[in-house]
Amino acid sequence: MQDGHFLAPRQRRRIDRPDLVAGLVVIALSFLFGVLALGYGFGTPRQMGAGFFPLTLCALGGLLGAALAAKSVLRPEPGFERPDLRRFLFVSAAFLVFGLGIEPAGLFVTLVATTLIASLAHRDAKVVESLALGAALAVAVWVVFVLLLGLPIPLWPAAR
Amino acid sequence: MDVLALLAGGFAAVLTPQNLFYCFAGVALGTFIGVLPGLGAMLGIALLLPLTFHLPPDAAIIMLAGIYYGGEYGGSITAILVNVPGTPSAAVACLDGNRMARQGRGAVALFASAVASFIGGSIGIVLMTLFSPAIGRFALSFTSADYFAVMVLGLIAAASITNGSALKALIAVVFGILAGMVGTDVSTGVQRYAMGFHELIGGISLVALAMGLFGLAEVATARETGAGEGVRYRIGLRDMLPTREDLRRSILPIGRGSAVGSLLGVLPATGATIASYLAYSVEKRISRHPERFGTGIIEGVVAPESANNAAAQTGFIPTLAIGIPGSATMALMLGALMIQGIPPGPQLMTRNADLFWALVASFWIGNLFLLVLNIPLVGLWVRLVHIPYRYLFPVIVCLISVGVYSVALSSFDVFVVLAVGILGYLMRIGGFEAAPFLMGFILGPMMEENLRRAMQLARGDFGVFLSRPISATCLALAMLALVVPLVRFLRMKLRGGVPV
Repeated sequence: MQDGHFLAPRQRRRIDRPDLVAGLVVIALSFLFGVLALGYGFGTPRQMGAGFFPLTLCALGGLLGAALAAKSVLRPEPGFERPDLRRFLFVSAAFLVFGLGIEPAGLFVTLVATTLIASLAHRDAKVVESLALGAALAVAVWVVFVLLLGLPIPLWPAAR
Repeated sequence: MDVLALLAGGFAAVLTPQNLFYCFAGVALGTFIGVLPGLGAMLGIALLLPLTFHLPPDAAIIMLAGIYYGGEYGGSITAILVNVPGTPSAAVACLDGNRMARQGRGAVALFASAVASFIGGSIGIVLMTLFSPAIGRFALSFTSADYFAVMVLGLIAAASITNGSALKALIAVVFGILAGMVGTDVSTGVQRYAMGFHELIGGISLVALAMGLFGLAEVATARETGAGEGVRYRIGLRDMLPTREDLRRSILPIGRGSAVGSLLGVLPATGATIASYLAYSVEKRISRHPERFGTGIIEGVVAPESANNAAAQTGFIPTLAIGIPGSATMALMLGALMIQGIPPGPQLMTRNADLFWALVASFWIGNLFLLVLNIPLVGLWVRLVHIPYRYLFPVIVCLISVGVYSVALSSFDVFVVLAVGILGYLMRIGGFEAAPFLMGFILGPMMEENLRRAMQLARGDFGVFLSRPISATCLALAMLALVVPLVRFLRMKLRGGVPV
C-alpha cells in the first residue's frame, strides 16, 4: 500500500456512502449518551436536573445525525480519501508507549522509545537518527521541565 | 484621556524583562510554527498551554497571544515563498505573493506582507483599545438569557461558516458540548459521563483535549508537501525594498484590507481566514484591472495580509470584553484564562483591568518584534521550510506527551490525548472539523449554566428568550444562519441542480 496522498485521484480507494455511515454513527452515539443521561435526573425547565441539558443535546444530535444520513441518501457524497494508516498507528502507539512508560521507566528511556516509535510513522525513518533525536529531546525536556520548572518527573527506571 | 492612562499602565506592565521575554518568545515560536507547512497556531497554543501554567497570568496570556498573531505572520512567509500556506488564513497570500516570488520579487512581497501585517495589526489594536471598554460596559447589562442566546449564535455561526459541511460542523458542536458535560455537574453534584474514572470527576482536561484534537489528529493527517525542495532563497535587505510605485499602489488596499479585517474579526466565527479572502475579493471587485489579480500584483498581497492581522487583533474584542470567543483559537485563549483562574466576561475588563491593558500593550510590542523578526531574519525562516517531516512527528509527539503529563503528573491525561486524538482522527476522516468541537467543549458548560439560571429566573418560561431584545435578536440571527443554507439546498434540489 502506497501513501494515499501521493496517488493520482482515481487510484485513491474510496469508502462507499461515507456520510450514511457517519450519520448512523452519530445517531448511535446520541442514543448511547442519551441513555446514560436518563439516569442523571431530568428535572423541570424551572429546576433543571443534571440530565436536562445532555438529554436535549442528544435529541438534537440524533436529529442532526438523521439529517446527515438522509442527505447522503438524497445526494451521495463522493467519498473520502483513504488516510495514511501507518502514520496514525505509529503516532498513536508512541503516545501509548509514553503513557505506559513514563512512570515505571522514567523520562530518558521513555522519550527515546517514544521518539523511535513516532519516527517509524514516516517511511524514511532511520533508526540511528531517531535514537539521536530521542536523546536530544530527552535532554532538552529534562532541562526545561525538570531543571527550570522543577517538576518531579521520574528520570530513570524505578528500583523495585 | 482615560484610555491613554490605562494603556500607559499596560505598557509599564509589559516593559519588564520577563514579560518582554515571553512576548518575544511567543511571537518567535508562533512564526516558527506558522512557517512549518500544515501546522497551525492551534498546535502552537496547545503545545505551549502546559508551560504557561507555570507563569503568572499576564505573562501566560501575552505569550499565547504572541503565538497566535505570530503564526498569522509566519504562514504568509511559506505561502509566498513555496506556494503552500503555513496557516489557512495565509492561503490567499499564495495567489499573488507566490507569483511575485516566481517573478523574482519574492523579497519585495515578503517585505510588503510584513509591513501590511504590521499596519493591519496596529489598526486592529487601536480599535480594540477604543471599543473594548464600551463593549464591555454594554455587556454588563446582559442577563443569563442574553448570554445563552449570544453563545447559541456564536456556535451556530461558527458551524455555518466552515470549509466543510455545515451539518457536520453542527454535529461536532453538539458533541463538543457533550464532551464538556463530562465530570461533576456544578449545580446538582451529579457525576456525568465519568464512566467510573475518578480522574474524570473534574472533567476532561482542556489541555489534553486540545492536544489530542490539534496535535495527534493533526500530525497523523497533515499533508506532506515536500514544499522545501527547490527553494533556494538568499534574501538581502536591498532586494526587499519596494519601488515607489509599489508603495503608491499599496496604501489604499492596506487601508481597505484593515477595515475589512477589523470588522470581520469582531463578528462571531469569521476571523482571520475569511477576512483575508474577503479583503482580496473586495480589492479585485473595485479594481479597474481585476484581470491582473493572480498575476503577481502587490495589491493582492497587502490587502489580505493587512486584513488577517487586523482580524487576529480585533478577534480579542468579543473574547475579552464579553467573554464569548468568536473562533476556536479564541476559545482556547479563553480556556487558558480560565485555567489561570480569571473568569471570562465583562467583569474581566474591570476586575482584571491590569491584565487587559497589559495584553493590549503587548500586542503593540509583539507586532514591533514581528517586524524586526520578519524583515532582517527572513532568511532564517526560509530555511525552516526544509525541515523534513520525519523529524517533526517525533518532536511533536514527545512535546505533547511531556507537556500534558507535566500538568498534573498523571499518565491518565496522556491516555486522554490518545483517546481524543483517535476521535479527532476519525472525525477528520469523516469530514467533521475539530474547531467547532472545541468551541462547543469550552462554551458548553457556560451555556448550561446560563440556561439554567435564565430558566430559574423566568420560572421555567421559555418566552424569556424572545422578550429580551438582545437575546431575541441573537436567536433570530442564529435561526437565519440555520435556515438560509437549508432553503438554498432545497431549492437547488428541486431545480435538479447540484448544490455547491
